[in-house]
Amino acid sequence: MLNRALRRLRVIYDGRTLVKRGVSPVISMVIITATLLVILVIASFFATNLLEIQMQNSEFEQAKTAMLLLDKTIMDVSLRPGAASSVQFNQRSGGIGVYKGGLINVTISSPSRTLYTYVNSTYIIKYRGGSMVSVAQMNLTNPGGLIITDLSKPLGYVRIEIGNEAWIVLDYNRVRIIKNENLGTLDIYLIRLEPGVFGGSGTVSVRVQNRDINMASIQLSGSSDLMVHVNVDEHHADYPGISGVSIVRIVEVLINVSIM
Amino acid sequence: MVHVSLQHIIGTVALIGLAVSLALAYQIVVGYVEGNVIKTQLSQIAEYTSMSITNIISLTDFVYGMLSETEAVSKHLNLPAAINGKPYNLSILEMDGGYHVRVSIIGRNDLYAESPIALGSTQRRIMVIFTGGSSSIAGPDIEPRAWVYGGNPNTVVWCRKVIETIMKNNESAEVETIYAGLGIQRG
Repeated sequence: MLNRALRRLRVIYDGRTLVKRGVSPVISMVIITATLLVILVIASFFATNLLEIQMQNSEFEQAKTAMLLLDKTIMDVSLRPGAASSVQFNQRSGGIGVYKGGLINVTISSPSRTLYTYVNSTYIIKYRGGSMVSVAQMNLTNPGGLIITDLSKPLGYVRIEIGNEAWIVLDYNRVRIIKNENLGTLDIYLIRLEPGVFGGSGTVSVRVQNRDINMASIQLSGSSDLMVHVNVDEHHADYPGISGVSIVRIVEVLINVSIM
Repeated sequence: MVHVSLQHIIGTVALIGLAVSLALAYQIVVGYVEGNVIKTQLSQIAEYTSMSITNIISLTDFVYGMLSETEAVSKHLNLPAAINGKPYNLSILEMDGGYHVRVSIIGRNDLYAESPIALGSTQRRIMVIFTGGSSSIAGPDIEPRAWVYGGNPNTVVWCRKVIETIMKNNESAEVETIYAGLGIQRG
């Protein structure tokens, strides 16, 4: 039995008899250790990646809530001159900033002439998500156009935009028009963001302050039909057929946005 | 007599050194993390206090805008008694032409946070009191203070609008001035 087993191990090679042996224990140990190390490195890489994805997505979800809160905060301070408030944002993988937007152009005209033109630059608040955030494009608030006549609709437009990265965007590039039939007034209300002081890292406070409320009014002698035209970049909207109005008031609320 | 070999002594000393350095490293890391947590909490308190001062000024100006002078109005600050078991101070500093709320841990100069008080929103002359003292500007119920101990449950921010006579181009002029600051509710 043993002889048969030994015979099996012997082979004839180049006229000599050789005995097959296993690899050295050192080499086998090195191979096993190296394999385990490779498995460990790959596993830790995947685990770190999964954790990072989870953290970046959580941070982005938190930023979405914070941006909605910031929108409500801006609406709140816009009613009180001088009022200020702040919302905290975490900037581990993402970052928040105030960026220049397009021009907003509001024109009030009668059939015969242009009564008033408001042109100003706009700013938007944008939060950039981390590179591993996976999210779909969506509207978080839906004002529904450049002219809002429904009081229940918001003036701020919070949305998620997907470009090279995921962004949460907040802008106020629209006007609210309120017509009072009894008083014969037409109020055009808009919020303008202006950049303030920027600084800080990690957890930052985005502070918004109502700097001023500017109002212009137009007294109308006749009762001709008015039209309000709003234009922001390539988007435009009309609000035609406004009649029975004797005073038009344009109210601009200036909100200073600082990150510190 | 038992001889202890030199190698054993070196090994034992090295082990003790390793244990001590591990404990020190742990202390440093924990201290760093704790410092960051405390700084975040301090900055939240500073932000809350500065926003409260801004809002009480805005409220005074907005609600009593028609009046030249008002009584002092105050708002209680809802502050924690201590941060991570550490007592802290609130104070108002004048820096870079503006006013800042500074919140710092008592006895730790490195643990503090500052938040600027957002002013400049009204057309009136605004002055934030930071020197404190026994001024009666804030009325009989409030003692204006340059700094307050964070754990004091009677900490308030207060605001009052008065008419002051100031010299402008060698002529005296009456100016509406808003005073605001930190204080302690008496009684």
